[in-house]
Amino acid sequence: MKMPTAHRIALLFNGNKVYDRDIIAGIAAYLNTTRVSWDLFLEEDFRCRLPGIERWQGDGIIADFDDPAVCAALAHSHVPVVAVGGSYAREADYPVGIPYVATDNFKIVKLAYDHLVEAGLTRFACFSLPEAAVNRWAQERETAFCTLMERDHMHADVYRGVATSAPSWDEAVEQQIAWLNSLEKPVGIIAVSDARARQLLQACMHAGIAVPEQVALIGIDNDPLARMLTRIPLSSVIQGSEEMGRTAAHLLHQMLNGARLSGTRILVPPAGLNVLASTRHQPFQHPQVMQARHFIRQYACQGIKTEQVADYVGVSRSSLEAHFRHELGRSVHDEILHFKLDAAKTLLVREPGQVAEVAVRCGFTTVQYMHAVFKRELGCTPREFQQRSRVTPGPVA
Amino acid sequence: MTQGDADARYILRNGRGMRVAVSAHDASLLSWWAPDRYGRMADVLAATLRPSSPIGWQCDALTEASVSLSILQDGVAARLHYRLDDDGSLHIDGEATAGTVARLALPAPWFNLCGREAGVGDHVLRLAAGHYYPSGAAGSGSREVAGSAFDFRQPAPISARLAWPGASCHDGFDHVFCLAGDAVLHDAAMVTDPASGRVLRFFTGGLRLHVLTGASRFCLAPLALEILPGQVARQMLVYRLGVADIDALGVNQTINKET
Repeated sequence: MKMPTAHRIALLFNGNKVYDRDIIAGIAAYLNTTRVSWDLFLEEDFRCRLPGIERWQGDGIIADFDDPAVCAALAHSHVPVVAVGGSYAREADYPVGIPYVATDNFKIVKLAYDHLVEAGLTRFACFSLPEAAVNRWAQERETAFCTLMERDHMHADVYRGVATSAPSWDEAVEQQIAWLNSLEKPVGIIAVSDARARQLLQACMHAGIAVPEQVALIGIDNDPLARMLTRIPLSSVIQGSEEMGRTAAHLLHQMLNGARLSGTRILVPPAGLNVLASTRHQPFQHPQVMQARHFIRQYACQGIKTEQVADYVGVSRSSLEAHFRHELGRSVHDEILHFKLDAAKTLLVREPGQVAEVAVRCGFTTVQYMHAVFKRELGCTPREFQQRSRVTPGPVA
Repeated sequence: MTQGDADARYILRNGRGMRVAVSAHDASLLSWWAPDRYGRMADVLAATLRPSSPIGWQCDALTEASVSLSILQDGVAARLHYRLDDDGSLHIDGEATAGTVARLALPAPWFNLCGREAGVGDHVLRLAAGHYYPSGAAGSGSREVAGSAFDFRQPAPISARLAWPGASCHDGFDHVFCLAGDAVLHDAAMVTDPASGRVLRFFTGGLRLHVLTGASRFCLAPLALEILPGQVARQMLVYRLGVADIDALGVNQTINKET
């Protein structure tokens, strides 16, 4: 049987970041789901090495155009090229005549900004990178941030800091702290990448700045490594990188079949948000709601009822309910139950086997009632919850 | 509630503050209030196009969280049962009988998970479908989704897929997909909205799914019921609304198959 000749395709990416690796994973996924067979040219360390690429005898190239050296090397390529990179606000910044698959920088920053707004913040800042040809994406994200600030008639506070290197590390951190101290709190900060967010989070810890109470921080990339290296779990925007890889592979596939796609440009929006502790900011402006929650936090497990909370705050039950509905979208009873449930979850993980006792200690009138609440809220019984949490390691104290 | 009043509705509620309004007039869904990742409630249904679904349903039973409706029209007897569960599942069970061969299109909801006047282009769609009908309607000549803009076996944003060369449907999808499931209730589709964090899951007992997308709304609909004389034609669906962060915990992933 004659096998169809496989096209020889070069993937020019620096696969040391989760973003590039996900793009490559997307290309692989496209190949796996189709009958397309490509011989992939990729350095064994997933690094992009350009010297001699113009003499390479292949059929097509998918390349990371965020790297200006790649743009220059492929400007006059004799084989079909699909560019992958960040989107630009200015048309002139895109390479001419090459199909381009972009991560939508504006939508990424907008998603982060909208999230901070929804989290209740009213002041915003952006932590970027020093201007450099290799991180034009960071400047694009800054621009997107400034555009949104201008739209909403707010001052755009952008800090680029210095590029990090071992000798200047302490100085870089000091400058970050000085900038953080200069900001009016609370403030929501968008970092142009998770790596950058992680540095700032560390600076916050050094300076004793509470995250997320004083500084709510969100990064971009949803990088598991950056998350592992921070003590406070970092919220992040998830880019559509796998879909970018699938799209780039599809475009090249079409071009190898003769399609002319030089003007094609596809912007891929972010795939989602990973909301973690660094942006769980809860500014309950209403003083009565704040007071009520303070009371509930202390006494939820002693079986308090809505009336007692209202008495403590000194307002009628109905007006307290109205404030809760408005500020939190739930009732006072739900809030009490929420605290009881959280307390029960913590105790169940810590003290195996003691379901009945946990129910009493957390203010549930009966074990049956706690059982029903678990079923409704978590879809499992207290015992199932306990067994499940034993399988997955608990949080590090 | 008076029959004939086009605004008459039945309200279903669950234990988590969700509420669904079902029209007493044509049995369609009028609104579905559901929380986003911040706990804020919004109506996630977009104005429903009313196809030729029959008008003049009668209410047989109504509880806090469910309603049973029936109709007898032009020789077709149909029943529809809506039930809203605490996990955010809206079960819709339909059955119909007729003396002759007949078709019955039951009303299907249009969604916008943002709950606002915003586009659905950035909604992310996943479909358990390996084949689709390029012509739009289900007929002969289904095609593999592999290698095309119609391959949603891995989640993909709607607008970016419409921009693929050869998608040839730039205004939106209006296609019938062949589902990979069996004839019992199976996980057929999922739509997530990165902005609000809302997630819609769709389970069906059917093997075909009509996917329609517009600028500001989308619809996941079963095909019309084909009724044969002497047999009961059935439709079994679940739309389940949740929030990405909660779904990500892996809780509530299984769906109660008894109806």
